[in-house]
Amino acid sequence: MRVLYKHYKEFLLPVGVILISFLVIFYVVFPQIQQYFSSQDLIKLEQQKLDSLRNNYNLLTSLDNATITSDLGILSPALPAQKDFAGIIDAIAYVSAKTGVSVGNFEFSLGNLSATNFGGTAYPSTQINVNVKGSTKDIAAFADEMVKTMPIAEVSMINISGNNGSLTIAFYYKPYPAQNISDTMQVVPLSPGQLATIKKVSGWNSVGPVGLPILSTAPATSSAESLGSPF
Amino acid sequence: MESSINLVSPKNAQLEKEQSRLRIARILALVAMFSVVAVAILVFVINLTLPINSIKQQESATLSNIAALHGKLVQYYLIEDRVNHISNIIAQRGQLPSTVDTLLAIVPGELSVNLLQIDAQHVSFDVSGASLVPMNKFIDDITLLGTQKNILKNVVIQQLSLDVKDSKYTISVQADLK
Repeated sequence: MRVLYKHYKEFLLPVGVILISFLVIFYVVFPQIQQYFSSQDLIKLEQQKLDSLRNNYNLLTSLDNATITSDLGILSPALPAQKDFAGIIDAIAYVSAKTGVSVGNFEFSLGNLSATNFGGTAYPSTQINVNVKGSTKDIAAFADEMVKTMPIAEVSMINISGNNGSLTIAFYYKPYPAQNISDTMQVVPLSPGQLATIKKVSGWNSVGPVGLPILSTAPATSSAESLGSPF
Repeated sequence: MESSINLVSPKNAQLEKEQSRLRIARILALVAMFSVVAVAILVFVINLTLPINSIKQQESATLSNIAALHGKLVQYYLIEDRVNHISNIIAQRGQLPSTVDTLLAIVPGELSVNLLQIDAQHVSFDVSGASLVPMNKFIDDITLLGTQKNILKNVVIQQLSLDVKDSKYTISVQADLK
């Protein structure tokens, strides 16, 4: 052993340096290279996030305050957040006057009041049976105008017998979504279809005063983002 | 007497070989060490200069700008929500009023509608008049609503009656809506 040591003593240092170099490659250089690639992925993600935020900001700054307030003012009474009895009665009275049909008694059918009915894509409605008097054409015009009047309605049955008629109309409503909106949420411009809907709805008969939702102006906290609807 | 003398002893040759190996080993060690150090420093510097922090700073600056527009963001979000729901309802709701308009449009002026009942699936109506000619036209037009306009199906004429006292024909039609 001692003979071997004496014989190869001079080689120990270079061989040791080479071994340490390999160790440095495996334990220092490779992890750094891996970190470089993971940093590149992170940069890509962050850059996308930044681009999305910039797009949001540009979109929001390009929106005209008056236009969005007016759009919301049109859309809110068109699809109220809750049962809007006053809006319904006003709509019936307005359409009755417009079409020359006289409205007799009517009854509301409130349906399922459980909150489970309000979520998802289901649209809760207030159903109403209206008895009307008028010519067949006027009653048909009444039904026609009803579906072009706020709040949004669906005529599901029409019975006309002589100068008397009865209609079953469902007035839809939908609670507002939770307003704990994160500023990082992606905002996309309204599609041509959505703009066409706003234009269409703005042409509908509107009776009652515009009821805007009470807006939360504080940005959402991170914990608020996981909460469900407050309704 | 010896004619040739070997001046290089085998021991010296061996020593020289080892010296040469040692030199190569030293050179390799130096090259390895400097290369590894150079690469390590290079990768470290590259990692340091990656612009993650700068991107994050820009993100937070943009976020604070957006926070100033939070009210607008909420309004816009609500507009999107209402528009989507209204579009869905419009797409899903029945078209009874327009169907009624179409049906009434084919009733000739000489005839009058006594009864009209319509729901999502069925329609039935009674029409009366003094002449059978417009009645015939009415039946032809109703048939077209089934075959061409794709509004009705299973059209059945339930009854055709004559009220002798008032000289009035009455026709009762039932159909399913498509």
